[in-house]
Amino acid sequence: MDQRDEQEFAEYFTARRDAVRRAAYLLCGDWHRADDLAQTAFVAVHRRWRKIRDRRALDAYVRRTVVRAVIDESRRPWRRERFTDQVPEVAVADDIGDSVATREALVDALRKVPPRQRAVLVLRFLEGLDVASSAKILRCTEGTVKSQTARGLESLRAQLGDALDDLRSAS
Amino acid sequence: MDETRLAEVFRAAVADAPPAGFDGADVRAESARLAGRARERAKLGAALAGVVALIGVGVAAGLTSEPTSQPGQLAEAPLSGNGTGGPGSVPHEAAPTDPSRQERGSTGTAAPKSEYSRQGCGAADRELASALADELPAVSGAEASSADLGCPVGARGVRFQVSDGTNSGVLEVVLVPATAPADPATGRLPLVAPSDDKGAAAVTATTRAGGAMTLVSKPATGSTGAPFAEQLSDIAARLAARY
Repeated sequence: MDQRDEQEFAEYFTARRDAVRRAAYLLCGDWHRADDLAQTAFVAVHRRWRKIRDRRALDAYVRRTVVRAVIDESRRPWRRERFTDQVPEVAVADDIGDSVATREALVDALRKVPPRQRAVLVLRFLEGLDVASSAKILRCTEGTVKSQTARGLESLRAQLGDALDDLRSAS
Repeated sequence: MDETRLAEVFRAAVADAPPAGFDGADVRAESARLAGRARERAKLGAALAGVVALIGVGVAAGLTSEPTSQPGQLAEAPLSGNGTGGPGSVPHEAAPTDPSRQERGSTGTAAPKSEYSRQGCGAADRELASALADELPAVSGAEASSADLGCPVGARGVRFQVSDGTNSGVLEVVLVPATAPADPATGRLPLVAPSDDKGAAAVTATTRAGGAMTLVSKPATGSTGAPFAEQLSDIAARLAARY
């Protein structure tokens, strides 16, 4: 890449790195793994930078790369997450929004939500994407996003128990 | 809790992010490393293709310079099939209509010359490699190399070593564009020769422009199955929609 391309990429990287890391973290539940996922996505973008004509689509491309990597990885036996009917013990906090215990409870609970449902929840509630944008990234229908959102919230609620009881009305 | 409140909880969960474990320099260095390795592969592929082409020219020259018959021997079938052999020759077989048979009939007897003949897929195609990486991030960091399939004229492809759980092997993608010369046997767009590998999975999808996008997954020795075999149809469909 020439100087100008490198400069543009550097600006994009600086602007988006932390957001991508955060999304990756909620998807995988581990900051080191989140860094790996985010770096892989940015390397892929860097390698294609000159070929990418629609720079407005960059965010979607990076999100898709991270989400697919997490979903693909979840299918591998040595990394496959195990689901259980037993609800784990969770810390109950007084202040839901700020409590470290609640954050940990949320992250732990998210890890137990099936990967595609988790991806929908992260895209919609962390990234703030609407149904249509989420469907585009996941390459599925809007109806699927809606149903996955409902099931994801259901699953999240089951994992959290009473810790975040007011999740019930969200959809 | 409404959606706004839920979003707040999600954001709060990642508010205390630790310092990043990589920076822009790491990204550029890794990108350069992968690009360098891809270039090396492409050079090696081109060199091998050149060697194969030279050998092919040599074999063809040797065949055409041979006398048509030797005393006490039957004549070789004519190369072009446009006439009869010399005195004492035997009628040559009709040209095989099965493309895979054409491919294999390269030693000893030359395959009929036509616009439609199989060859290697050339050097690894970067564009296809990028497109596949988009659809299957598992290949993002993998080495791209030349596809090892019987490609029709005009086709291009790429090959990756991949692993999918306990399954490992190679995943190859070949694009036969709609502009490729038609298979004279069928009058239709030629397809990639079927893989002989045991346990291989293959899917072909029609591209948006009318070409053919073929994905072949071949299991490695000891692998329980072809990697990503269950996803081939989806990936092929998504790739086909791009071309």
